[in-house]
Formats: sequence, C-alpha cells, structure tokens
Amino acid sequence: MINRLQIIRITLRRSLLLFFVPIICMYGIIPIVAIVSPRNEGLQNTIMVSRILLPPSALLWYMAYLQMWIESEGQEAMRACSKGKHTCAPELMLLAGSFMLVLLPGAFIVSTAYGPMFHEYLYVCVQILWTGGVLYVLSVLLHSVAMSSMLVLSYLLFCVFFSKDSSMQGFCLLKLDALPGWESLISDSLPLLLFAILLIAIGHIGERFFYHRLRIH
Amino acid sequence: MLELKNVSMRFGKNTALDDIDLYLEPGVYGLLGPNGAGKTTLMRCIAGILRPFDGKISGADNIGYLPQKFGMFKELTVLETMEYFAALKNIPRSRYRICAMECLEQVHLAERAKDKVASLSGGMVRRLGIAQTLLGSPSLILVDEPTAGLDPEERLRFKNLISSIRTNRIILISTHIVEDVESACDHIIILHKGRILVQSTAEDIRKKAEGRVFSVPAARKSELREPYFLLRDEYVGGEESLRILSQQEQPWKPTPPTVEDGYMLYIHEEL
Repeated sequence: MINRLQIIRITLRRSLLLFFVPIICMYGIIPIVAIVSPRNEGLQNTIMVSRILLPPSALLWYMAYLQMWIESEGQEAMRACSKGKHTCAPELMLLAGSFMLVLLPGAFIVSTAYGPMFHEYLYVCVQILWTGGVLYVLSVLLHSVAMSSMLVLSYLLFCVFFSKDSSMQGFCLLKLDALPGWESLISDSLPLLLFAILLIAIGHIGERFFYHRLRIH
Repeated sequence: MLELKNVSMRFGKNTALDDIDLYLEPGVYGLLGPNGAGKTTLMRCIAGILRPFDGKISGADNIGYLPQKFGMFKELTVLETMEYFAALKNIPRSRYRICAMECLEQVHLAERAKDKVASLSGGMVRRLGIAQTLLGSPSLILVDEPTAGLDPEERLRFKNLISSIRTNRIILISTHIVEDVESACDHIIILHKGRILVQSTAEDIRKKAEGRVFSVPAARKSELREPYFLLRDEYVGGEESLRILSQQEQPWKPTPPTVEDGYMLYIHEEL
C-alpha cells in the first residue's frame, strides 16, 4: 500500500494544475455559488453546481494517472516492471477515495448551512466513481485517454443539458435535481455504485488479461 | 538462464514471431535484424508486455527493460524518476534513495540526480533508462535499439556501460546496427521475418561470408555474375568501387569480410 501511495503522490505532483482544479471548484466556486444564490435557491444551486463541476474535476485526477500508463512513452518500461501484470484499478480507486476525502470537509460546510446532506455527498461520490470507471474502460479499449475523456465529458455535458428533459431523462446517469432524502440512496446511488464497481472490474480484467494482446501504439 | 520454446506471436494475419526457440546463459547477446523482423515484439514478449499466442518463456522473472521509446516524465527530477520505478518494482520504501543513487552512479548520472529530466540530453535520458533497468538487481536486462539517435561519443559510452554491468547477467541488445553489437556482444542472434536464422559469435558470422565479398571497380560492373547484392559504394584511391556479396564465383579476388557482410548474407536468402 505504501508503494502505491508513493506512486500516486508522484503522479499528482507531476500533474500540478490538474491537481488543484478540483480543489478550486470545491472550495472556491461552489461556496461562491452558495453565497450569492438567493436563500430559497441556495441549496438547489449548490447541489446543481456540485454535480456539474465535481465529476469532471475528478476526471482530471484520473486522466493524470491513466495518461502515464496508457499513452506516455514510458509506459512500456513501467509495465515491464510488473511483467505486464499491473492494472490501474487499485490506484484509480485510491485516487477516487482521496478525491472523496478532499470533498468531505466541503460536504460538512454545506451541511452546516443547509442541514444534513450526507446522502447528497454519497451521490456525488458515486458519480465520481462511475465516471472514473467509464474513463478507465474506454482508455483500455481505445488506448487513448484523450479520446476517452472527451467521450466521457461529452456524455456528462449531455446529462447537464438533458437531465430535465422528460424524453431524455432515462439516458442520463447524472441528474441535477436534489435528491428527495435518504431513501434515494437505495433507488439512485446503489445502482450507480454497483455499475461503477462493475466498470472498474471490467477495466481491471481487460487491462490484466487482454491489454497485452492489443497492439501497443 | 532464459529459455523460449516454440514462441509465436501474431497480429491479425501478420506473423511477427514464428516458432522461436532460444536458450541464453549469462552473457551479452546482440539481437540483429532488419526493420520489421520482430525484434521489438520478441523483446516485449520476454518483458511480459505482450503474451505470445503460442509457446513458453521461462527464466524472465527479474528483468529490467529499456524500450525503444523511452520518454520519461520531464517534470520530475532524475532521482524522482528513479524512485518512481523503485516503487513500481516493489523495492522497500526505505531503500528507494539508496538503490536509485547506486544505479545512477553506475551510469554516471549521480551528479544530475536533482536536475529535471527535461534538462537532460538524449544520451543522458538513455543512460537514465539504463539506470532504471538496474533497479532491483535484475538477472535479465533487455535493451531495445539503445543507440538510436545517439552521437558516436554516447554510443561508445553506452558500449562501455554495457561492459560494466554484464557480470552474472543476461543482457539482450536489440538493434539493426551491426557495429553496435560487434564488439560489445558475446553472441549475435539474427532475426528475420519472425524467425531466428542463426545464433553464433561475431567471428563465425563474419566467416560465413568468407570468399563471398568482392570489391569491384564501378566501371566493370557489367562483368559481374548474377546473382549478387550491392553492399555499398566505396571510394578507394579516388576511384569508385562496389562492395558486393555473391555466392557466385566472380572474376576478382574476394576481400576479407566484416560481420556486417555475414549478417547481410544471412538476411538475403536469394543469395
């Protein structure tokens, strides 16, 4: 575990600006939205902006890591260190966990202003997980983090624009409206959590057993 | 000891490796072949990056691999890069710095440990690549096209470096430049169209071409007997002459062959 943390630390140090963008979103932009919004709209606006900004922000951390292992010129030498057995899945989950921990103080701050919001925090965490899972699977399949991230971002934008459209709602995994309450954990968050776990498992299996059969570009 | 038995690799309809058998004991081996022969594919299979469709590879447990393209992370320092690879190789954290500095000293990069990779020359980046292969004291080192793009001084430095790290190791150097392996390697393996044509010493490969290499005045080219292969144009005493390879008797005395001539004889089956 210590070695993996060392790898992640060096990766995030390398990414510099990308590392700070999510922090700026969480502790800069979102509080500003909460402050300037009218009192009766503050909670909804805060939730909406959180869901718009935080999943794409998390993608930046995933991209910084995946780019090294999928697209960089050093990736062959790195894969040879583990004789091709390495997969990005454990580190991606550590990154996701780290990101969620970074968001936790912000969630407490919002809770003090608007009441207990832990189910909203968990919903955002699940969004972060499944977007990372999709990015991982696509990156392994396409051997391109850039193209994969564009596809994921395009889908997130689609959700932002069409999640309130009744005809398109069914296609949107990311919704912008506040959750009704704790009961939404079962109906909304749990299926997405299972989907995220499935995606990471698919990515892990694909990278571990089939990546080496694909031509390295 | 490294052993490959019946190793084959295909990409779609293209057979990159065809039933490769290889047995290597500690020493320095040069893997020679033209572009597209399968050298890099073979290296990747041994390194575990590609899994062959058929066959078995044994003895490749503790390896260091320097691929053909080795662009390291320019924002990191030399030492941070080495520590990153030390982490990947599961070296204990307390020994990261010690192992990294030991390897950097072997490649004469210790004094640049705190410099960013972006500030290194091409030859130094290659040396850094060699340094990361040494982490964990591997028994097998694979180096793919190590001298590509290097100036003569760096190439000579690389050869000396290989000599200094060869003790009790198998070092396999893949290249299409014959002179890179001629002096540095104990044995040469010639790979062509996915198959091993020969595994022998440089001297035996050179001897293969004895009596088959001729230096012909360019003006008398029409007297040559087919088939022959033109190795290169030469200028001797201000006159142009052709150095050719031919299994046919020619109306000139053969000239002493080089290892490159022997390599060309193996590659050009039509001769």
